[in-house]
Amino acid sequence: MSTQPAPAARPSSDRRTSTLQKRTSTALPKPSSIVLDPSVLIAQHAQLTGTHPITIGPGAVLHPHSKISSVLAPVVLGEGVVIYERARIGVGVGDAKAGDANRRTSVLPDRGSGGSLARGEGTVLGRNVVVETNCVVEASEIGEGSVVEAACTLGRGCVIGRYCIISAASVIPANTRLDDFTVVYSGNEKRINQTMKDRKEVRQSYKTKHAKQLDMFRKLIPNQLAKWA
Amino acid sequence: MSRPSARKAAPKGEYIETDSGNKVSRRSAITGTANITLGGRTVIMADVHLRGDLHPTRAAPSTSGKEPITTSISIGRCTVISTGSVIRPPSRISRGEVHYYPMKIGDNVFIGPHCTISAISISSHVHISHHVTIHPFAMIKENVKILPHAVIPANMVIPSGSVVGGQPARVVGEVGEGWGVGGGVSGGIGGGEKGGEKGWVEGGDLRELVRSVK
Repeated sequence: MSTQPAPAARPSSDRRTSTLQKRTSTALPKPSSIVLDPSVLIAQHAQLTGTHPITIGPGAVLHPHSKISSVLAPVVLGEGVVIYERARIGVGVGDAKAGDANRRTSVLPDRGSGGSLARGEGTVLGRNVVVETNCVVEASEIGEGSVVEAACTLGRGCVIGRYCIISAASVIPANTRLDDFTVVYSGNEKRINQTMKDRKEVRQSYKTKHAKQLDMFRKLIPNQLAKWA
Repeated sequence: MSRPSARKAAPKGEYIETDSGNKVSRRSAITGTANITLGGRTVIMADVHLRGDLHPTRAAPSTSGKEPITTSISIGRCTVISTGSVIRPPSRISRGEVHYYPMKIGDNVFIGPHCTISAISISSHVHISHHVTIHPFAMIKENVKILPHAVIPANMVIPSGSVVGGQPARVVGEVGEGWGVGGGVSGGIGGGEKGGEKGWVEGGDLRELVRSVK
């Protein structure tokens, strides 16, 4: 976090003797508009960057060193979203080659249809989505209650349904569409979480658990919301 | 974390060395330092996250005293945590409340780069390769080798002397006789032939490795 020195300390532009162009800041620009609900919890060292707007719904939790980037497209985080350490959200946060080259062996088969964004641009995370450590999320949409476990990569334009579980270290290629209640595991296997699908009370208890988790974060993590609001 | 005041104008190196010989990178991200104990001669490299702030909030039911246990991460001696790893204590719902549990990491444990660790306990002489994910409440016994990109499912108990790998991880072999012993002896699947010339062996004593970190 680089903070600018007081402007008074700098020589004003007309007193500069050098004709060289002043070096512009290499730091990413602050988002043009950040809409934060007052109940959002943003930990120290969480980052919000980019030029497009970022919207964060009530009760969301950003852990330290999580990064929300709206450099290429806007980002919307729904109510109760949890973003863990070093997860990166937003289009353009992952380097293109990291997805396949050195990361891991098994990858879901690419559904094709080119690399360009098929849907409306931006990233929308639904209510109670959990994105764990070291994930790279460039997806356009993740439905309510889905969990993206540690070290996953979700490619651009992915549409993930409700109550999906993307288990750890999975790579979802760009423009993949996953139905509601899908579980992706073991790299490229998929199944439907039938229990979650058929039983409303399971989803309900899931929700309750998530709410309790959010409460606990609120107790444990100091809030730096004021810095961004 | 206090540096001896006698040392003046010491060149700012990458690591801060504590009195007990722990080397903690200046670029590591440690939250809740009060809840973390390092055994001594332990190396925390750059970009390592230790989530000490996620600590137990009520006394364990077994303790007779009224003082609550707040240690959330305890790490033994000569343990190396490589760059980009995240150590986060596991949590679950217990008696209707989310509760974080203290995690223990033993001595001479090597944790490779870019791991995510939420195990409840990791015993001594465990070698964890790069990009490994360990889910909450996994328990890893002594002399275990975890292969790269493994995903250890929640609540898995890994018996001592096993080699595990895969997504989800399974026991794929045993480390065999002589694992962790220096010199030319190396057993098991891919057991430590690369460690030999560097003066340390996977699963062996990491003192040499710790000493080489500057």
